[in-house]
Amino acid sequence: MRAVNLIPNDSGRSWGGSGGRSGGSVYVLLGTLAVALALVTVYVLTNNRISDQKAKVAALQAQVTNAQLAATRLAPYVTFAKLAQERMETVRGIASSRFDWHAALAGLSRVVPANTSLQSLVGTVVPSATVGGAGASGASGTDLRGDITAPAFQLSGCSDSQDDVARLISRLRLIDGVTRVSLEDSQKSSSGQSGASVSAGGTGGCKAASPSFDLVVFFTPLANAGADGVTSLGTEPVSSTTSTGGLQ
Amino acid sequence: MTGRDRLVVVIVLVIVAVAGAWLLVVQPKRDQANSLGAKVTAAQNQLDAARTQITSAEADRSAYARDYQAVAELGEALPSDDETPSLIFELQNAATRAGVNFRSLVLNAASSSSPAPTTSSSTSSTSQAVTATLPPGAAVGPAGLPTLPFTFTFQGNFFRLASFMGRLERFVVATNKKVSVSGRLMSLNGISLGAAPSGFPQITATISATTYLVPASQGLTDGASPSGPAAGSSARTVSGSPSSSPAAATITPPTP
Repeated sequence: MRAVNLIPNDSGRSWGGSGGRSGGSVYVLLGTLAVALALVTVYVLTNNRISDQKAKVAALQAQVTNAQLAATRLAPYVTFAKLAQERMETVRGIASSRFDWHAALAGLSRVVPANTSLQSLVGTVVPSATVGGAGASGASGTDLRGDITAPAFQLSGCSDSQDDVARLISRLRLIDGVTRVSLEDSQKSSSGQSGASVSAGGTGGCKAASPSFDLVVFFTPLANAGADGVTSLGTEPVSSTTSTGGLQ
Repeated sequence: MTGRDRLVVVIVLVIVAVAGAWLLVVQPKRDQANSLGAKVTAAQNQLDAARTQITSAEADRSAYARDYQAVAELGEALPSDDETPSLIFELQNAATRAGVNFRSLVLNAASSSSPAPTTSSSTSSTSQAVTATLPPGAAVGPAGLPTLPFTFTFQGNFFRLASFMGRLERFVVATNKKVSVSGRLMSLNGISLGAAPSGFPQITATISATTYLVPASQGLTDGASPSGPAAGSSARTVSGSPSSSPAAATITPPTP
């Protein structure tokens, strides 16, 4: 039996399946239109976004301009506040970096034994400091003071015995902030007069057979001390002079 | 060319057209939109920064009266000129309270602490201009503050002198929270204690001290007034004493 195609020729499938009589062109057309529509949609939306952002940028820039103008108007207040803060810090820095002379002298008065008399005291914050015409070697005429860059007292005085000098040194170490006590000399004068540093005052002098001493008491270095001390203030020239002798 | 071939060509043309439209029309617009987005972000950041600045400045404006008061009070510690009369008054007052005799005050010309010579002529002229605005005897110190070195002489017993030095130091008391000012800020660089001419227990104390001034370019309040700051802060200079003033001043009470 011979097979017969019952489907008419114009209703049969062409290439690609359901192209129909247009051969699939209609799908291509529809697809093209859809893609074109999507492109236009994206284009329009992007354009809208651009417009929005342009407006937003303009508004923001206007606000920035206004804010900057306001900040400019207030700038002197900021500058003055900064000045006040800086000046406060400067004063605080200087004030807090000073050596506490009062505490050191009070400490000294508490530890010096009754049988010991001080004939001169020269205190300096840095070795290069000068006071009363005397620098680092002002009290004793030596350079022990210059060995340590820290505040120090240079003491000259008399004691009843060498033991008392040793006792004085031990007690001086009890002063708050003292880091070292260096004895330079302790000697009895055969003539009953003290050493050169004491007799330089003209009015002083130790009792016969009483040793005179010269020593240096070093304190804790100041926190902000530079090479020349806290603010290099000790290097200023001092024109006056002071005599020594007779200080208990 | 068969229908199938024509269809393939059409599809390829459509794809090319779509890609071209995307690349030539849509993508530039998208780039522009992205660029504008970045501009919006930048402007927003700029606005935020300006607003923060304004907030901070408003706080400074609110605190202006307090800052002005603080600066004015610090003027007692750091005057704009040598203000020797007030220094003498403060020293005499402290000496009286401590029970010591204020003998002398010597202003030491700051020759050794003058600014180091510079090789640049312009810098040199600037230094000279700065120095010219300072009181005679003053020099700019390492901290940038003009300094005035003095030597004081006092007489009294040891304990009163020690108390007196405490009073000098307490002219300015600094804590972490505040700075209390009741007199001139000074650093005592050295002291020398020796017997007074009248003999023990009277002691002569020679004190080497340095006082400080505010920078000449700022003046006491940098041109500010109680009602508000100057518009161009730090733009003015405070003129110093006339150049004909003596370089060193000495007062010495007569010996009793």
